[in-house]
Amino acid sequence: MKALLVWFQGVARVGVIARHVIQIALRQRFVAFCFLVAIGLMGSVRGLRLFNFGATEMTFAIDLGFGVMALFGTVLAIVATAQHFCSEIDQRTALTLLAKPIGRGEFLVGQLVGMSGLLAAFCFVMLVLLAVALALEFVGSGASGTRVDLGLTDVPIRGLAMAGFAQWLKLTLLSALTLLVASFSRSLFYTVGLGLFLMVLCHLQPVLRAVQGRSEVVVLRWIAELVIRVLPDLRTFDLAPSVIRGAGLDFELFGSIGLYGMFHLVVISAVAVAAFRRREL
Amino acid sequence: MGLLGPNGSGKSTTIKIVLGLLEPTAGEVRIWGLPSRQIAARRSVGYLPECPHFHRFLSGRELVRFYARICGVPARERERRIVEVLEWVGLVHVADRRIESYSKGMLQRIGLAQALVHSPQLVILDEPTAGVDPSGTAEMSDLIRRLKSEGKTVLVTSHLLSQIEEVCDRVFILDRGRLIASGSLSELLEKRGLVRLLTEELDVDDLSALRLWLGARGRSLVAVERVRDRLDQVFAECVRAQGELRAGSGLRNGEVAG
Repeated sequence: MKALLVWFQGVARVGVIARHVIQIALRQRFVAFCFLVAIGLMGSVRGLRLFNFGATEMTFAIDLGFGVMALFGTVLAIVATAQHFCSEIDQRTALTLLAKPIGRGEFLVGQLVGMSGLLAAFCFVMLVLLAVALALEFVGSGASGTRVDLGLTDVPIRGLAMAGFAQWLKLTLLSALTLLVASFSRSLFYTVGLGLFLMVLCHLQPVLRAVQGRSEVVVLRWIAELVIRVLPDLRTFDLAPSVIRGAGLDFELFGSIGLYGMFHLVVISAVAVAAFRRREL
Repeated sequence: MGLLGPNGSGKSTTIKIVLGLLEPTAGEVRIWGLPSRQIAARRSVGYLPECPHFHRFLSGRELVRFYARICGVPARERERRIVEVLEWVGLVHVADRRIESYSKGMLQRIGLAQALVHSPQLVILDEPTAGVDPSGTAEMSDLIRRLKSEGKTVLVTSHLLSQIEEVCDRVFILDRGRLIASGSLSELLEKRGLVRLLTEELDVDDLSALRLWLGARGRSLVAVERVRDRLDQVFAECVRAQGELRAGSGLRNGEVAG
């Protein structure tokens, strides 16, 4: 019973830190800038569809929507996370906070949950805007309709929601990777740089698999295998093509992606907490 | 308690160990019987770091509310406690202003407010007057004395030895990580075998008579000095008097009274 109470108190403190992180992040100019530019781009889908390079307008709109979400979400997940965490350490606000009855693990998990909340809000806003844009522009009313008829009778809400959730999970993983770097790094530039490098590695799993299978250099094969095993394959979370196809987005796939993401999230967070516990502040 | 020592003597390191932020190479720190690495041990500790920084986007009230939540101050008491502690440090009138607009002295006081919001029994103040003007230093000394009078244990480090002398009962002196002296102020400062007398003005004849009187008792007059005020006291009195004049005559900031 006592252990349960202690656990609940810990969860409550994580919640307080997370709320604080969101409160601070929403007041930062950089975050506001990312939100505004992303909202602006999403709102101008109608104008930008002229540059569709031969793709159908619907395909282009969904691609553009998820592209904006991925681009600005990645910037937020890496730069905003690194900026917030590094400023906590550099300005020694973390010292004041950790002198309170709060564990280092709770502090770090609170940072992650806060950033994840911010990214959830970002993805939600983007999804709503995309759904509205699709509803206004592309849902046809038949061959005689004045709007572009793409054979859709409704906005693919379920597909958009699933792809949006996967995108949020991917961004949260990126935020966790950035926090892992920040837990031992002593510079903002190093944290952002290494965070971006890890993101690229996470997207290069096919290349790494090729290296692992074909390279004649044993060390390279080992490194490739290690990276494949340790880092998540972030391409798994890109479901926009499935939304466009309108098929293959079932709950089984959704569940397996969720479990895959959560597994990596727990492992990355645990390593980050272990590294941060040893850090001298 | 005053923790003294030159730069690099280990004052801040000692404080970090007490707060469980650093692992000691040997030994153990317990706060009210609990190892300081345990979260529960820090429930009864308030800490004001040296030159505190807080998130500039927050208002003073938001900052104190955040720390109250972290320290587990119950929701039904929280707002009352926040107002109490802001009043206590004299910042209630600027509580809703963003911290970025606070002066150095106000930052120290909001730092003290966050340290006290959960009513800790042990309050640790690391250089609470670093970079603060003499008026702010005097105010901080008053706040420390008030904490003492409320029965709290206050551990303070400062390079202003006059401040330590004013507010501390016991002093510990560190050098290169070692405790080189400790004890009550009277034990450390008392010059054995010497007493100081304060009298009104004495002329040459009075002094000669006093020397003779002491000589007859086998004592000697070691020194005669004029009593002087300390500069920080004079400064504080001038500033206070100017403030009272300004308040009385309705002058604005920047205008000089008298």
